[in-house]
Amino acid sequence: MNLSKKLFIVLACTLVVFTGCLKKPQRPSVEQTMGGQGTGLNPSDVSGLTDASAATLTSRGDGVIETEDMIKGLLKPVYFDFDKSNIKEGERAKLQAAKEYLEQHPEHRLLLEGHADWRGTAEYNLGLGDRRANAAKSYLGKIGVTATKNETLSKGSLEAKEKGTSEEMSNDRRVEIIILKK
Amino acid sequence: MQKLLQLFLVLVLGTVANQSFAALDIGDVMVEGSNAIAIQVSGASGELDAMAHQAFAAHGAYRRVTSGGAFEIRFSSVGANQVNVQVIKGGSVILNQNANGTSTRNAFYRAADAAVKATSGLNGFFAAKLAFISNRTGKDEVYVGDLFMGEVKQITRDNAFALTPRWSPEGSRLIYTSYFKSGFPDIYLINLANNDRTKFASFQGTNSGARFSPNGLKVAMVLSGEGTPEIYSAPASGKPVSRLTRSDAVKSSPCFSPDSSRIVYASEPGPQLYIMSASGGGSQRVGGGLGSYCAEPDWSRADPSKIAFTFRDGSRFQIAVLDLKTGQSKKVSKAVYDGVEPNWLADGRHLIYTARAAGSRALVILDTESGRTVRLGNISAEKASVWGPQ
Repeated sequence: MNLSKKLFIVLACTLVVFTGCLKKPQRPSVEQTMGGQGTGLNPSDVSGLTDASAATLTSRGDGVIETEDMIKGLLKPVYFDFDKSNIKEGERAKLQAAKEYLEQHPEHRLLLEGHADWRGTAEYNLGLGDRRANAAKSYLGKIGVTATKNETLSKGSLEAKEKGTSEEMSNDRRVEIIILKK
Repeated sequence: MQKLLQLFLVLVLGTVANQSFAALDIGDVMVEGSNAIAIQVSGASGELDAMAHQAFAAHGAYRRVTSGGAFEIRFSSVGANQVNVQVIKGGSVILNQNANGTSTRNAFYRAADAAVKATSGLNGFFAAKLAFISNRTGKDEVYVGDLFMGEVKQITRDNAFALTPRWSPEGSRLIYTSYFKSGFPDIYLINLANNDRTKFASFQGTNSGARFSPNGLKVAMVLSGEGTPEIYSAPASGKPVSRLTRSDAVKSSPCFSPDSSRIVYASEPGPQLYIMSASGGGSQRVGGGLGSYCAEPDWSRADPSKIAFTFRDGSRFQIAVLDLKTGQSKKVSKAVYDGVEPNWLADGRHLIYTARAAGSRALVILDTESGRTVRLGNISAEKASVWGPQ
């Protein structure tokens, strides 16, 4: 058994609550601050400097997924528009099919793997892949799939095809739906 | 005022020795401004002579001449790992210094940095170190080397995707993102003295984009464990983690200001660049309206008024510099395909970036004032960061 071919995944989800203030301060979102101050930095406009809020994050467990416990290609990938992460109407049937698969195989789970094309920048693409995977997870939640049945993973543009046609590039803007047998 | 006298675009296709780069036609841009300092450089040995010409050819403040230069700069080896530099102006020696290094090569770069300081007043950067990702083995791994890609050492052998190795301020550790072991993006810290690796952040979701503050006390990073990829910070020990941003927008690439008090990062929509206090709070959009896509900011430690970033320029990507004094941004790179992932060097004037084309990556040095662009080394390299020299 080749160790390098193993994927590890969460088995035990330990809720780690880090210390900090419980009262989360209101602060303007990026959208709210977007309009003005388009030119240059004006330090006097920066407000609410002191209170970094507590973070509630769940640590990744040490559980393992064996490659042989993954089924790739049975469920179709969900495609996205350039720089977008909303689930298009035409793609929703694929998530419905994933839901039906889980109903028929209640012992299985899904790994939602987000991807981006190679244009843009690596770190931002990692975020975009993350957002796409979470959009798929959120849509599955809306149609009744329990959140614990899905794991998300972003690969950003790390596996993107670079010497392809624009059609091949659009194939990189996707979420793979991988079945986890355990 | 445009003062360029000459502009030569030298296409290096066919002159790059390494076959793995045969496909990449990056193009060195050899520009000489009228205010470039004319120098005669030489080394007492073939090795020193070659290094001296390579180094000063990459520095946009100089032009090399065979006679009549404002300065004559001579290098000679004077002992094990020790190089002497003499700077002569009008017949008199104005600098005569022995530089020690970890090797003759390293000592040469330190000596050359002293010569740069003496002749231009600029901080030297030749003795900087790079950390970068290369896929030369077929897999992404972390490497370190000197600025001209000499003395390169492979640090990881993980057979896993890896991103953005970044130096700790004292230069003894690297913090980076790897899919190593878990198959998920986690943040690790590598101690270069003993190659010991510890997990820094491993939460559900994506853990990426980690950078130390220049004072070494904090690490900023991007975590998606609470839903959207947001900016967080932690003490250098890793705990506790504080969330700094809160909105329904993908954030990436946090970078501290030189005094460690503020953070610049990229955020949707766009993305565009924002600055906030290093302890969170309101964000201020910056960028001067250059392009609909601005990402990967790098705040110069030598010149706190400058932030370099990557922007979309038509169908390509190029490097721009935001001047915080004026609020205006200016395109500075002329990459033949894409220019991405800028990192400032110690003079606040030159930077390195990744020249990117489909299937090809290389690091280049750019003088943001003259536009001179020279490729560093000939191995596939990207996602680099710079340390020193100190």
